[in-house]
Amino acid sequence: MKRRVIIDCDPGIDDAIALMLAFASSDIDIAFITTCFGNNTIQQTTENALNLVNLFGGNVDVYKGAENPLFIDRRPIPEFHGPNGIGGATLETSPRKLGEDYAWDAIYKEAVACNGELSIITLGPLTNIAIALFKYEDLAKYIKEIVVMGGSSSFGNEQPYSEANVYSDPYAFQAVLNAKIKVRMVGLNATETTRMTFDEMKEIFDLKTSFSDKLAPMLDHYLRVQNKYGEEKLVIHDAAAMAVAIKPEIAVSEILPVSVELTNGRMFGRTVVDIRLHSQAEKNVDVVKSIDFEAYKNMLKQAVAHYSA
Amino acid sequence: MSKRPVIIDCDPGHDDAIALLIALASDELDVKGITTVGGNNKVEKTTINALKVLELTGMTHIPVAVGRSNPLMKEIRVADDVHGESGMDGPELKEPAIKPVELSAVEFIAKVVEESEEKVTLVAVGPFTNIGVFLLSYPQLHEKIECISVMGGGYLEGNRTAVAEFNIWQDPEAARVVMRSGIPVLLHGLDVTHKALIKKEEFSIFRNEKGPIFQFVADLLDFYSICYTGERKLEGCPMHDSCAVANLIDPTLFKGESAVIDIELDGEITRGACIIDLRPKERRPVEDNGKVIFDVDRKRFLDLIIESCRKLESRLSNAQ
Repeated sequence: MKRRVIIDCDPGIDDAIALMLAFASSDIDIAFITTCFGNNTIQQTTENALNLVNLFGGNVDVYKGAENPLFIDRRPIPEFHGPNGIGGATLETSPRKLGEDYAWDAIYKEAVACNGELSIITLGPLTNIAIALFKYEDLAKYIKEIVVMGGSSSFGNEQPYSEANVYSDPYAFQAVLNAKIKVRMVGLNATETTRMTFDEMKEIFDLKTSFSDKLAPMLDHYLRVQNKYGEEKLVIHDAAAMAVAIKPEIAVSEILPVSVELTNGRMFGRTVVDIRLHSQAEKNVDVVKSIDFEAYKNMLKQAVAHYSA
Repeated sequence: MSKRPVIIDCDPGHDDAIALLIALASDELDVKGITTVGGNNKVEKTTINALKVLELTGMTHIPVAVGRSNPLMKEIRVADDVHGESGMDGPELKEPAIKPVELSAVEFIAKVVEESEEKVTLVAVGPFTNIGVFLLSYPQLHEKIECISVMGGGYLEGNRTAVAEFNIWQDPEAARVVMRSGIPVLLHGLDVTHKALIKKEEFSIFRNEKGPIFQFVADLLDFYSICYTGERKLEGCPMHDSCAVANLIDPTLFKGESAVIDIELDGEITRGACIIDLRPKERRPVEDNGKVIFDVDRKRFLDLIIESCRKLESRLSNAQ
């Protein structure tokens, strides 16, 4: 049976590739998409999400979520994904209208309707999930699992130790941890194991699809920016997390104590993963350590093949 | 003049109970509902106490909605050292027969605000958890809030720590949501509430009057004064929460200053403190977001409390 999921995202170039994977998958049944600020403003990420759903032929609604992090000021829009969040690619405007509910209300209604069988995949800051948990005190018991692209048990990206999604709203991720929902964390330490060469990337996206000309500028931009920061080869973080959400067996993970540094200093937003169990803290997060790179590449190739057929 | 629509979010609480009495007696305020929150005690207890106060006054048509039990980011830490085991120790009131409404406090606030033709004023005299969640989850309704009249914080002083006052200390994150919402804040901190005393020698004013409302207040004061005239060495009981209500009824009772108000979340020893920026305007980082109250005309404030009790007593006897 297909697993029912909600995808919460902030497209975002890697979100776009993740959505491409998701809409090609026969393992998951996407209830709808929710959007969050993050890689761009909420207006832009929402417009991108609507148009990406349309691009990949998805037949699901999009619900708009949070404009700002919970308790802190939103930082300036990162340059990473280009001015429009998708590397300057121009997408056809979706004929579909935005859903009427806010993301947190849509999430709660769906969770109750699924009666404990709903999973959530988050590709952006956790703000929407946190607001949903704040507003609906009984929500946690209706959620089966959250697969989070975020955090790290090693290095950071936006800060030396802090990963962008968690750093964008550190309190939100901690609020999710406080709710004691089953969380599988696909952090930078894990996505790093999917780093691919330019040739590998070309091979994956080799087959012609109706959206090849849209993906090309996104991937070009993404590659250029990643290389600008001195990282040869490419990591498509959200796609790696989506692959793990679709096929959990491609990841190796361990349940470990995780908490978020909330003091607003140099470590703000660091996910502290107690790998050696120094603290007596509860083991609360299934931390992905590595992803089967061959399996991941195959999933991407098969997804492209799905659309090219 | 039409009455000002208000929702009172509270955690009764001795001073909350007296604030409720003033609001319920007032001809200026239209109390659309009472929402309860975990603070002075757990929300189950503060809800019972709110229901008891409503039953005592006979104003059982006013809806009560149950709010959040825990602060946003931490577990609750109750103030039974001040308010006793029930959250409102002292008076012996019977268990309430009335029940809260089905909606959660947050949903109730949203419904009232949505349906109101006029802007609604929120009176926030407990930890700000309900109001914080309301503001986070209903961004489209911010423009329909007139102002948020707050009991909390202070310019220099705290009561739970050297610099943090209880309501903000309990849930600093929610307090920050309130202060940064862009909705005007009327802040009644310890600067003014410690001046808004009912002095020990004035307790007899209430005890000597006949009627259940006066006796209820006298019982509240007797218990509440154990802490305040004891270890806290005040001359009587500070009517913290009543300030946030009384200022809406008669603003001439209070004096304050426009300021930038924010909440400290990070400091190892200053977490939960109010940051009130009173420096010259050009040095303040952002536009003023509220008014900080520093002074009260104590005599007239006390008269308002007495007069409110008298009104409620006469309503009760007229109803019989």
